[in-house]
Amino acid sequence: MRRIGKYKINRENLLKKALKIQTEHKKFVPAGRSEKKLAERLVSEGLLRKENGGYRLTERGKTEAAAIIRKHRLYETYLAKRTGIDIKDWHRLAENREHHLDEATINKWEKELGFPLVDPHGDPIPDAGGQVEVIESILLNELKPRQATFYKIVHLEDEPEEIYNRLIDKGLYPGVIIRVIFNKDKWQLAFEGLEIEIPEEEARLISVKKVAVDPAYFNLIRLSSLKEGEKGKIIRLSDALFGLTRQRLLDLGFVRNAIVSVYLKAPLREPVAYDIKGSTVALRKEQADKILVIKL
Amino acid sequence: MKFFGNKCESCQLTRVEGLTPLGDATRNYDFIIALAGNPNTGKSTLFNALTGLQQHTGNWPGKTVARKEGGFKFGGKIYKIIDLPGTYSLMAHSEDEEITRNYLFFEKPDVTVIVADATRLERNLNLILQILAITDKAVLALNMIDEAEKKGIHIDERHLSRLLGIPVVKTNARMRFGLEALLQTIEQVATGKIKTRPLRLRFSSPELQRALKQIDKELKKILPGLKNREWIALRLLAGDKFIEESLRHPGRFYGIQTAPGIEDAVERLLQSVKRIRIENQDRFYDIITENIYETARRIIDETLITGKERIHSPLEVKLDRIITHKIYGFIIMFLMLGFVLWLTIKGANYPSQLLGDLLIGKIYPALKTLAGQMHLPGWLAGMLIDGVYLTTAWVVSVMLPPMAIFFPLFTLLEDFGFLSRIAFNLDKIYKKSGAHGKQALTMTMGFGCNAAAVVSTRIIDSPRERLLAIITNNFSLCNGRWPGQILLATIFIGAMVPEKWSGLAAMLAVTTIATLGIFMSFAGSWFLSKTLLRGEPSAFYLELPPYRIPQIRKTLYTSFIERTLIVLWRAIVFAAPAGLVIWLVANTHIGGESLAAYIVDFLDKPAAWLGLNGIILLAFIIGIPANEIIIPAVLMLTILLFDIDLTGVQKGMLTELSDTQSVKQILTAGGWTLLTAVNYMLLSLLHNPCSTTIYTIYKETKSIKWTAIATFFPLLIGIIILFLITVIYSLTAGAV
Ligand SMILES: Nc1nc2c(ncn2[C@@H]2O[C@H](COP(=O)(O)OP(=O)(O)O)[C@@H](O)[C@H]2O)c(=O)[nH]1
Ligand SMILES: [Mg+2]
Repeated sequence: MRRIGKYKINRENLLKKALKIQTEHKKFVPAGRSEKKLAERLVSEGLLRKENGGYRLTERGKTEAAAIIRKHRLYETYLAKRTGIDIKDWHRLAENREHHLDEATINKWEKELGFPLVDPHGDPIPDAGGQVEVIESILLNELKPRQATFYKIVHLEDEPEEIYNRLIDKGLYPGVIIRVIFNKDKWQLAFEGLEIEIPEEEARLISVKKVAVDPAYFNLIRLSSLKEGEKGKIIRLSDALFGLTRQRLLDLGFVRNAIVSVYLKAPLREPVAYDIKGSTVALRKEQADKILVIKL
Repeated sequence: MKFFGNKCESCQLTRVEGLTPLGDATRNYDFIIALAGNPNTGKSTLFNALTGLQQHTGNWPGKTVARKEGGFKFGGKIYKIIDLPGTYSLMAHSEDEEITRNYLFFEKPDVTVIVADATRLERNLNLILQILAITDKAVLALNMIDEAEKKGIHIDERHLSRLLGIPVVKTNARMRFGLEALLQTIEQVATGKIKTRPLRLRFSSPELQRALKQIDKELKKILPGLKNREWIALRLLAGDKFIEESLRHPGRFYGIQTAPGIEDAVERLLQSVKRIRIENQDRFYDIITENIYETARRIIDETLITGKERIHSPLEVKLDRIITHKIYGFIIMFLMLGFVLWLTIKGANYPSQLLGDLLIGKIYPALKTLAGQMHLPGWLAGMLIDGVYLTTAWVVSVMLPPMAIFFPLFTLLEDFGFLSRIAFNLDKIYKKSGAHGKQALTMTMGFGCNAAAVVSTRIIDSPRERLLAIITNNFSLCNGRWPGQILLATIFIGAMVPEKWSGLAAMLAVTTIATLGIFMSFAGSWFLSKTLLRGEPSAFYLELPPYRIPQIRKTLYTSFIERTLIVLWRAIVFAAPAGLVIWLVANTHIGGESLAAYIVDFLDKPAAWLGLNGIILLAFIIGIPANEIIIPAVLMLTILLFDIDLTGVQKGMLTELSDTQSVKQILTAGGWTLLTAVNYMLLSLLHNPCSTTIYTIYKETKSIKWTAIATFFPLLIGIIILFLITVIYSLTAGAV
């Protein structure tokens, strides 16, 4: 791999950060001396401009920042769809590779992947022109105790990595719909038939968006939790199912309102064969986890 | 077992009046028809019934991965018929679906025959409704009607036909029931006597309706003559690049004359489609499929005359409980493998002896005598009789019987529906190895032929896991390698126990080797997914077909004949030239030593490290084109280099020429020990694929790198294991 100067990496990360803050309609104020120095340098390059006590991206700066986000998200999409590398590693790998990938490779992948519009987390991928869409969201730890309702996770901050991995292990990733129940300074989350408590440090990483759902969501459980002989009705496929996998499951009949029953478990308890729409289909736990049903 | 399938396998197949199968002769046809449908619905069975060809059918989804063509004559008209690979949909972004979709949409067969599994109609309707969206002339063959009726599923086909707007014919492709009606209907649709009005897709989702309407309006404006606009709009919403591209060249793809400046308008349209997709978070695939299934549900509700329909027959449930049982499941798998091997060993014994008696015991000496009487020059007689004839005779007598027995038995298991249960049982282990569960299917396919199995890995969507399946497929002993295993196990391992147990001991030995191969396919996949093909396993879904009583006699008979012919053909193509080469290298002398002796001497050193001898290594090299000639090559080379006289005239060493004992005598004379035999068996499991397989791997991966890895990876493992065994053996035995 080409060796890349530290400066390029810092610069690109700063641009990304600035864009992110800016799209949240906040002011970008550098944290610390070195960031401030870098920001000044970007001002001289015409990518940032000073604005009442903080910085704003210029049009050129925006385009450049969007290009980096584009690389990041396309690369994650590539990892997700083409390599089967673990979900926990996507972001870290992309954080690194985004600075090394050239435009031609990215464009080639984009084509191979069939010009995806959103990345595996549901974030929009900026097009080659650098346009990026914004998804309105709020951090979980900023929710007020009254707002006990349904939210969809739209983004997980992946740093610190250790906490991020903990969240993934708990089954919280973008696309999951959660119900938030407050409990003093703990956040109690109900989702997919599970109820867990997470501390503030974890809540801080989760961005959510309010969603309107039907009451069935109160009883939503994962298909994988059904026992042999039990029946369920599919309410939704998690957003974490994407690409060909999602398409195949839909085509096999795992659509909303379909009735599924558990026919048979394999000797090693996995996969499980389900009866659906008159046929029998075996699925691994990873997929059955992401099919959400209510028990009948 | 009269609960399912056809209880009478000896019933006469219904004769189809007026049908003349034409095999693959397809020139000068009047009509062209295509068979489309879900996997495992009986398309290939129908195709075979109509064309008289022997396209492989198998009771698991994904058996047919390539398109096949044939022809037949009916009612004075000649039809060309195309067996398309089965798909669940026409919309997904996968290659097989693209092929089917583009064929039906752009090449437009005269009639599309949709083959549906009547027992799984609701799921089948997803594809049926999609096909109807793009074809004008179609016929639905409601196949497996026998099974449906047994399961209490009765379908009102008249009403179904009215709802779908195309003729519906109930068929049982296996017993050829209903085919005449089907053919008549096809003819009437092809000639326009029956007018079809296929049901077009209707969508209840408001956002989809809105999006479709908008695109439809613009399409109509830009390209007025365009047909199937709704379908095209759907494809655009699903992000189909091929359709997008086709719109950029309407002349080429749709035969529409366009005004200049159309390009910009098309680009603008595509841009606005993209905006719509973003606004809807690219979830149109969900919405479309949901809507199609809604329609399917309505159709089912209206046409299913409900009785006491059920998905699984009680017997099937019982069988599944046992076959996928925590403990018995695995035991049954091995018993099954062992049983097939045992049948092969026992069954091959007698014909082998008979053929050996005849070809080597009688004809060979007779040929020698004849050559003497005709005063043929020694080198010519040697080349033809000791070279070409003898090698071919060995392939036929030693290799053919097991191959011709094993393969049909294997086909029976496949037809029964057992293979998909094996995949179901083994999936967890494959998952732990980072591989795809369907690799179990391609692995078992490898027991028949590795090259065919490599092609069948197309059922695996993920490229990474497909490569794993390809690279590790050679760990499945193929049909060309079983007989060698059986032979050596019989004469070296079977001989260590009392006579009456020898068959069992040999069977156990071969089962062990085959199991080691299965283990290697896990271990190899695991290793590769930690190194060269890093990654986590991707999604896995596998449709479990119902058990079907195989048509035992027909399957055994056709695959026996087919196998025999193939092996005989290969004997001529590969064994005869190999025999010639072997004789030549053994009889070309340089400075008093034969060329073969030089090569073997040279190979003896490395071979000794592996507990083998130079002859074996040379035979493996000669056997690259076809594994079944390795054992004959070993025998030939041993005879020629050790100057063993087969006719027993000069040295009188061999008393019985025909049975396996003579083989043992030859090998023992060549210095073989138990270690040699075991190591041979291991190397035969763990070496490079045959050249046909290598070529197939290249065709499938289009990569020299992966072809090379697939070629050398098993060989490397073989070398390491053989070396270790030899070292351990010599340490414990105290001698090299
Ligand atoms: N009982 C029954 N079995 C059938 C019928 N047609 C095909 N089969 C069996 O179904 C399995 C799948 O058939 P195949 O032609 O390979 O399906 P394809 O994947 O659609 O080509 C095979 O085991 C066939 O013997 C039928 O009408 N009735
Ligand atoms: Mg087929």
